Amino acid sequence: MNPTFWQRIDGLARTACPFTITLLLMITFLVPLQIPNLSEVIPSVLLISVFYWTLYRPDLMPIWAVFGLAFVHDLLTGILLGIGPFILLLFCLALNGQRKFLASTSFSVLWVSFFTLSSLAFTLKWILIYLLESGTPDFRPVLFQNLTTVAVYPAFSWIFSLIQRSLLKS
Amino acid sequence: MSKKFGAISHMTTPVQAWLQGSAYAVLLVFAITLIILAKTENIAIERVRTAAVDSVTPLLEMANRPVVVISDTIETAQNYVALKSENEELRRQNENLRRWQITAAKLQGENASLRGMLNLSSEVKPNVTTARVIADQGGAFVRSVIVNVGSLDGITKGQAALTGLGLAGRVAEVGRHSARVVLISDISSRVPVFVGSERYRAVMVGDNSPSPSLLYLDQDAAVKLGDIVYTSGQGGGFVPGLPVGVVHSLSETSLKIRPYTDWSDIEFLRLEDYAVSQNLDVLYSDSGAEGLQ
Repeated sequence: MNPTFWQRIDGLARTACPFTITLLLMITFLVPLQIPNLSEVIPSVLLISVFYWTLYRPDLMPIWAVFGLAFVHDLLTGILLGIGPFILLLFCLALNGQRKFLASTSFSVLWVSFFTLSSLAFTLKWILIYLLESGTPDFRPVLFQNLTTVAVYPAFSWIFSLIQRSLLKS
Repeated sequence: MSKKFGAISHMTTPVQAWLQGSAYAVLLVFAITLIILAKTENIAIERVRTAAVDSVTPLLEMANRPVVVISDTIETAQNYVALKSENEELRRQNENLRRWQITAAKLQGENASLRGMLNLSSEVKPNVTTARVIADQGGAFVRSVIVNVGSLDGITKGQAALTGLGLAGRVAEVGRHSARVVLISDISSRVPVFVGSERYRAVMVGDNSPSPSLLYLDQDAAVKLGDIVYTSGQGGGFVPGLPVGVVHSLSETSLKIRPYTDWSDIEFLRLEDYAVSQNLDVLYSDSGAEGLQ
């Protein structure tokens, strides 16, 4: 076998790594864990992953990949299709605007920035659902899901950094 | 924890920046188009959705297996611990239920003879399929679950989904091996109901909270706390008489229901087919209007 072929496959697998890991995590997070009321406040692993990879390796999480992941997430969760991609695109736009600042800042500032951006994303999503569906959606699960997402951000961020260091050294 | 997790790669060239800017614009327009198509209930969107859910169903079922084993083990251990107290409780309940059984048998006989006198058609017995919930973590904005049965198992759109206790939702999308059940607590859910023994009419409306509200209640309705709520069958979405829940909060502005279904524990759903959609098709064609499908 030609070694360059395997090198190419290896490179492709490494490049697809963030996308694939996010997709698998997203599907795993849909599985019912038989824990009361978890489904409403389950952390949004998609938001954390997109934040991390867009910040550190935007070449491996291009905007079309973000769109694709959010599209699949909408399809699987049953929410009105298109809302997820719309919100995540705006999330990435805001994130890209602050990349230079966020790249050189400390972890605690980064965490607060994630909190701010994720709160904005959740609020905007609530507003969109309010405008598009009849009736006022309950805001409490939205608040709690935002808090759980922010709470698990350091753990996932650490896992992603390990992946980045071990698999994506290039 | 270290200050920085990894190297940052910057995108600097103006061409790349311009390309990225246009990509954002194109994808944002595409997302808005998707929202419009989904809002207008485009059939293509539904097909894509069911195909996507169907394709991840094996993966979800596989991921579900260890969870089921662990939760069953925990449940078994808990059962052993609570064996004695549970036994006493069950004995007490059993005595109580026996009294109800006698009453129910008496009423059933009475009901059958009255139906006979009025020459009423006998009640429809539904086709029942039991399904396991394989995905329920929709997040804060939607209340729906995916079950592991689909059109190949005889599931059709519109079937009622019940837990052992009461109505949980309705089948909204059907794939070959999977189906999505929109729960009655979802913001898009609307179910015509009767309230209490006086059968006041109302519409039960979900808002993503565990307790749906009652709207469009009869003007002269005197609803009390604890009144039973059950489907009225109006509009044809459900058969009449499916138990939904009880009225649990009354205020000037809202009237909330506590459903019988325990939202924190939906492992299985009973999908009941009363052939309601076929009835509606006949009704619509008789009136000259178009059918549902």
